[in-house]
Amino acid sequence: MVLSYFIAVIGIAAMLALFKNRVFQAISMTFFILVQVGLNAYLLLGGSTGFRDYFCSDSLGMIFLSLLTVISATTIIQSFVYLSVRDDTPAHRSYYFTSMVIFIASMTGVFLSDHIGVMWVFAEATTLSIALLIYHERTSEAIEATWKYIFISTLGLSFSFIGILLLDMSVSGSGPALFTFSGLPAVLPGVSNRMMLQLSFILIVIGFSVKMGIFPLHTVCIDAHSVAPSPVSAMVSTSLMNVGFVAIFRFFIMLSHSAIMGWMRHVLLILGFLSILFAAIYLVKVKNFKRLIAYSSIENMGIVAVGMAVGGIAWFAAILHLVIHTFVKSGIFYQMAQIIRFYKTKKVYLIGRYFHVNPLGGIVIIFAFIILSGIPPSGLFFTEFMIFSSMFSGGYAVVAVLVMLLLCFIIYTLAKYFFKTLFGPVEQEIIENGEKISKWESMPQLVLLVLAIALSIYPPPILLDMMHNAIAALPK
Amino acid sequence: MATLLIIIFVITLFYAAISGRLFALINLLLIQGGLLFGVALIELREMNTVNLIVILVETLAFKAFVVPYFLKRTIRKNNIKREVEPYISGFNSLIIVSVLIILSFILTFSLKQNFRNVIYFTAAFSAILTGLFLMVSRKKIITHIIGYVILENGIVLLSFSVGNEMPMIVNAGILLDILVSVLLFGFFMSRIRYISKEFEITSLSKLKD
Repeated sequence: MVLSYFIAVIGIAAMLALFKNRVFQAISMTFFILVQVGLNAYLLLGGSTGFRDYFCSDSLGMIFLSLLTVISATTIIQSFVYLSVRDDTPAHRSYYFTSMVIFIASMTGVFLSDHIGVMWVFAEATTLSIALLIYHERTSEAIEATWKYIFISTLGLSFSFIGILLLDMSVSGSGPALFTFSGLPAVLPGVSNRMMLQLSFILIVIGFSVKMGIFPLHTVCIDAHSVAPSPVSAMVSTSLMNVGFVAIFRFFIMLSHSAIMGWMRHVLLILGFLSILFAAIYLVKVKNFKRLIAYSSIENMGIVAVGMAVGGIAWFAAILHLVIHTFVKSGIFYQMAQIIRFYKTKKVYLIGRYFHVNPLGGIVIIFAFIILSGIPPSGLFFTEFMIFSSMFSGGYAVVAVLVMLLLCFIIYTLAKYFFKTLFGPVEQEIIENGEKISKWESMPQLVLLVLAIALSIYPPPILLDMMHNAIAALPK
Repeated sequence: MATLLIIIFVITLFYAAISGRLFALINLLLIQGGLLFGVALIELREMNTVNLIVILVETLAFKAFVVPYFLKRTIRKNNIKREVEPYISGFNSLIIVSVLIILSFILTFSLKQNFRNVIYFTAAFSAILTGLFLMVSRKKIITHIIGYVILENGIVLLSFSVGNEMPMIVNAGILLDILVSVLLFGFFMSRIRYISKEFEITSLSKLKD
């Protein structure tokens, strides 16, 4: 099934690159969404992936694949809105859609990979395919962000590859096993060379930190957010960060059967804490609205990394946190596209009275703020609560208090800028010259926010089952 | 025999540190590709056609010809000045690269491997660290790409000492990824001329908080 999916995707991408007609683009993208939904539904209903040693459809992968399918459908809709107000040449539009299709397919590949090498190949493919998307607006900022993103990301993934090679070397002495996430746990307890495993894990985490957006390589991720077209930023901030999380979490689950479990937790705790700290520090200086939200993503990924480190109920909470974060963050970025179109700027101090201009959009921003800052009934309240309570019971009380203080600070900054946008003063001239925007364009983000709240109040049993399955392999 | 080639490989790293001309650095990549091909040929346990083709493509065709040719073309097309322009002088670079190689020895010995792996590991880590050093100590963006290719050469050397190798299809995917990444680097580097004539990394400093 996976093979036919990739053949279909390559076919669609080739057609999109060849034929640059607008109607044809709309039809192909619809067809692509159908293919993506088809694959997802087939795998959810228990279909097999084919290629047993390379791909698998386990619960962890399926949760995030389903998220990706939802987000890619809304992103493609918003991409058409975004492109309809620009006068790009047909070739320029065709680069956008071709890259988008390959990008979504590579992320699908990461979620479904079982073989470690295959996962690396797809992770690198996400970097390469997103380059033209970040570069779409072709400004000098765009070229700078694109260059930094692809260079640092490729470099980081080279480090991950060194880590993967070291892992391969350290297991090769302890019996035959396939080099897959499902095959290696059988031989890992026999590996005695702790230092090799440690070096391998740290290199892998450093590499995938570009994708996940945690310290140390999160900076290029922020640059990419701030210049990419808003629908693409929504993808970078949600699905691509999930890619990084899934990659790191798979290695974490696999290595939890080895001698370095406690050490790995400390590494993740430090990286997660530093991510939150850096997000809090840089939020003070931020003047660009998209960078502001990008730092908020870094903060959320920091919380997830801390959750991964403390364990117990926090593993469960980390996954739920990502699920809800995905819906909210993409909703904000779609709304952001409208705000930027209206005010023709990304600078926070030139934006104001948005509630007056567009009440529906204002409601989206208020809802998003409530969910993002963890005010009940937001699901992020429950997940953060679970992570903090397991930090207290796990003996990380000091870190928990520090993280809470930083979170207060971050929420204060977010509130300041969000409410400035909604009700703050702005020159009358800007409001009068703004572009009329149809209310229907806010529909996708409203749907996503409703989904986020619905999942917070009543997570469906199938999702809970999948989440329990995803963390079942971890030690109790 | 393989050991000899690996020692020559490490010597090329010293040359990379002092070389002042871009074309000399790129020719160095050609030599490294040839050396890697030699090592791969000697290390090959079972000689069959598929293995031979993969190694030929990976080391000789790709590392020694496609990438250097492509980099030279990019330099010519963009009229980049053909000097390396380091932040750190050649002599100091030489000292730093020597220190990096000693560090690789220390790292390798603390990993407790057998003797054969020690040689490979040291050479590989030296190349990886030297590649990184070239990136941070040179002004031009093209030297960053050269540094990246040297780093990739180190990774190839490291992958020779892995016991159970990746399946062919995975190897092909990895190779394709690296090829596309180098091509993309070249493409975006030539775009940088629209914002700066210098092709120096300092021209990329607009995005910050």
